[in-house]
Amino acid sequence: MAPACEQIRSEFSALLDDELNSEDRELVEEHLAECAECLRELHGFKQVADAYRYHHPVKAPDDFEERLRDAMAPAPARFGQQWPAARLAAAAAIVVGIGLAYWRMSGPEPGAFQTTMRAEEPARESTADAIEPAAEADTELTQESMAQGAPPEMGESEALAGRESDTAKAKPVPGDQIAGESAAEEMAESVAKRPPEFQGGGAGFGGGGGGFGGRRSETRQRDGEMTGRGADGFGGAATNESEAAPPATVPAPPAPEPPSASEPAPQAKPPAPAPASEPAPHQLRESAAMKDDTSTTGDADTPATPSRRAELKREQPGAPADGKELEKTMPEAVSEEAVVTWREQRFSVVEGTLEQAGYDGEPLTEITLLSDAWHDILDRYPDLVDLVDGTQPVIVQLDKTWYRFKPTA
Amino acid sequence: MVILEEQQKHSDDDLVRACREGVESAFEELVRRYKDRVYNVVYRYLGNHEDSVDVALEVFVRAHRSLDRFKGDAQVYTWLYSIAANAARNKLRDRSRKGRNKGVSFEALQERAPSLAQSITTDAVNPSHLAQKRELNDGLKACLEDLPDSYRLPFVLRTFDNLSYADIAATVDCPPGTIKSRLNQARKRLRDCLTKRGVL
Repeated sequence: MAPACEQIRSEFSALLDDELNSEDRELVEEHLAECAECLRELHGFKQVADAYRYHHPVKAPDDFEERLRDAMAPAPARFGQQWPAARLAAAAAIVVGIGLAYWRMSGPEPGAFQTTMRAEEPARESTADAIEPAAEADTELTQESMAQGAPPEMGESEALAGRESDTAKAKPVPGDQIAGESAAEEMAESVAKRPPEFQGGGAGFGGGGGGFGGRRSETRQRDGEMTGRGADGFGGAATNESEAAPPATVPAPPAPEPPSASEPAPQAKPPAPAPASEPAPHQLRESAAMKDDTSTTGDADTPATPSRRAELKREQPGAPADGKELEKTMPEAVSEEAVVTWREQRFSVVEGTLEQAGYDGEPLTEITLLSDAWHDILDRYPDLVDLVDGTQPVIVQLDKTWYRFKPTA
Repeated sequence: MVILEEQQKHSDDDLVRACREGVESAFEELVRRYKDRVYNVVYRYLGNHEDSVDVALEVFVRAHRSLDRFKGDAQVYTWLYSIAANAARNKLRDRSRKGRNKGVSFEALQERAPSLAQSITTDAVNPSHLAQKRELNDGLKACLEDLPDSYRLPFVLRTFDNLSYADIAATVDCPPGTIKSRLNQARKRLRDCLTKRGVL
């Protein structure tokens, strides 16, 4: 075939689809007027185009919209986003139920609850009506912090830090006055009665509901203070760190200070600097991501059983009923961000990107979905489609290389 | 009715904006506008109604979930198609992993979804004409399914939705020149395949 013919034939699709500019069209038509072979070739292209063009379009089934409504109907995240009060109420019910069960199993000791709670989670006490002096003080302080316009969680953490020593000295309330009061109190009591590794953290339901999905930069700053347990919802504070065995893939981060949770639960804990012993709400919110800050950076491509996206683990929010009250008493409210597991690596959403734990700003290889590079990667990692669904960018490490897969639109 | 008329005047961007603000009827309108187009493209790509319904539903579910991430720098339909392309491709891979590479037979389709079967055969009343049409459909479908993904998607978007090269390029994220080349290759291969099958 003459080079001219090859070049002309490369324009046939564009010619048929009316995508040629006038100059190129003229060139092609001039050639076709003199080249029977090319004309025959074009005819073949036209036959294909016609054969498929007259294939009538297929419509969606009549019940498509109804099926779509059904498919979209159960949406836990949307539920929480649209009706936060209802979500919080549901979360509170769960928290209370589990806390109650735990409390009943462990049994409170008069006084012990009081002292422990004062030292560790004074914010929680602010909703316990029986714990009036300290509670009111805490409430006032927290409200004050909030009124000052600081973000509630930040204001509270600072308030909590400041108040910790104060509340430790607060007048104790008899245990029997505490027991049997509000459900929140019972839950708070259960916190005191938790094993040491579960002290000091968690947004509720007996130590659960640690926050997750926070800012990575903040997370990194708190590396030494954070624990590897946050993602389970059991305590985002360094207090847990030395006690709980971290998951197999997550080495425990070094703590800057001795964790206060090493002390037995009933004893009063000495005032400690806030970052170490008083998990700020935003810290706990990040606890799930934090947990994986020190996760191994290799091994995304170990030949493990691929996990489906259905393994999306949604941490149960642990927060009592009332919205405003929540901010005061349950500063460790759980964020809506979910944690995804893929090939035993955990991912969380960071600023709109689904990011593998352990990513620390290393250079990325950017790949756009549906590109040739994407297909090559998929050939090597077919289960990547379980992780990358095209709705958000994904940062993942494969074979020691960090990739960022981005949607096409 | 007034609300519907109002919505029909709205552009896609307006609808997306309204969706983000939680106006569910706006999303419903978006679905109404594009469900057939999306379904048609997906079906042509997958060649299978059963999978196409799943994928088309998934497209809109994902779109609804990621409305806040749609930046508006692309057309709504290219955005939907890019989601569809990804979902359809995943479905293909899933299908090939499970060894289910055959589409639903026409007879099975007639049994399960008569209206869909009818839409394929359109107004073919004459049985022999119907048979002839069916063979044409089968041959066309088979040759299309034989195309590599990188050729099939641009061909489907162009042929069955008449997208411009620019829009196709935006959907699959490659230059328009590459689209032209892939369409050329697709048609060459289809011509050879259809000729072999006696369709052309």
